[in-house]
Amino acid sequence: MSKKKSFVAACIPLGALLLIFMSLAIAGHLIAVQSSSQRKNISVENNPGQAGWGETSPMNNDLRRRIVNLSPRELYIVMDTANNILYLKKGEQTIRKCVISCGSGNILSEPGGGRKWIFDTPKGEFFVKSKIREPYWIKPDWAFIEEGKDVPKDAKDRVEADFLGEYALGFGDGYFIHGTLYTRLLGRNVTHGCIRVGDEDLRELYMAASIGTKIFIF
Amino acid sequence: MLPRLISLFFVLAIPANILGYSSALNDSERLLLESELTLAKKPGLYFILDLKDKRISLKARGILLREWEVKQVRYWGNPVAVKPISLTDKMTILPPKRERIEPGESDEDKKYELKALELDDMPSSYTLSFAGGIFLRIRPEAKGWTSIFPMTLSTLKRHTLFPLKTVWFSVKKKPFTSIEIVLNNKRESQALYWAFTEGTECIIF
Repeated sequence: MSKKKSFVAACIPLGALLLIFMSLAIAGHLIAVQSSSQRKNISVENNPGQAGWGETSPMNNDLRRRIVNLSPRELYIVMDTANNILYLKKGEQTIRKCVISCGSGNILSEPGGGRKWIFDTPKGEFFVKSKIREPYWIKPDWAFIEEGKDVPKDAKDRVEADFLGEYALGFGDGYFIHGTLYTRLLGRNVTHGCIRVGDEDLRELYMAASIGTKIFIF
Repeated sequence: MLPRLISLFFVLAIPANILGYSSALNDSERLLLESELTLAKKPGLYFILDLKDKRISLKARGILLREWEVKQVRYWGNPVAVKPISLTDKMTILPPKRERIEPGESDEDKKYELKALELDDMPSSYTLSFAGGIFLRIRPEAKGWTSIFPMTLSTLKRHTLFPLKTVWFSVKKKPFTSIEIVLNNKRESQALYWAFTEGTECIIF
């Protein structure tokens, strides 16, 4: 009998806790259902330009036109750094699709503290700032530090030929679309932030792009 | 007489309802287009999360760069205003780690040994936190027996944690919106994590 009583006594606080918890959970559900039904009404109303949803107002058509007018009329380049793919596009049409290599995302720190480099390909909107034939690579400080060498004082010691391929397209802050000796690594994230492209694709890109060509990187 | 009156009521009521609905549709469409125009004018990438049509679009200057198909959406908390909001944080249990390069180790023999942060290293289940107490919980569609544990956890969260959070934030009078988005597969989920960077602006509608 006493065992039964102590069992019941132990169950009461547990039951009370469960009841409080359930009440709170039900209240949360009710609030959420109310909010989400408001949310659904909003989203049902928001259905831009869908056929069968009635005529859109002239003001909305004007807004849509203004957005379209912001997109490039000429060729533009889109780079998917996650999948290492470059698209040369005009409007919605893809003119060329190339396998590329983008930044490795690795970190290099200068021994003894000081500078630090993160080898990411930058994301966002850029444009072609320079077009170079037979480019030379002016090796930056990190290239020497990575190799465990001293950074040269003479600028001539930084110059390396036949490393960037036949062409290079610069898009600012030392970032280039250029060729590569390591073609078997195309499709992988291995660079220090630049974009490596195969020889034939690079030639086509160089011919098609001009100074000012928009580049979108994501 | 009565059937005629009923008919008349319907004849008058239906067009009025359609007109009102169409006007509301135009208003909210205008809000979306105005918000997108604001973002498209700026140099940079932005996202549009169309939860009704179940798609996530990555855009720049009005151009569609990439699209993700959404399998399932669930909402909790306050409705979200149609305006640009920026990503403040990406939260996950095991965030991807960058490799450190040891100076001097990059000799020719090691050129083909890959040490890099790639798409496969990205998490597939994570939370995107936006200004204004908005949280997007992203995960891929659960498949196979290995998904039993994460699915159970997700169901528990949905029926216990989120109701409690909703009550808590409601009592505190603080905004709280949690949106669970299920994508088609792991790779799609990882690609979305990759594309979203802190500060990226987004419109949810």
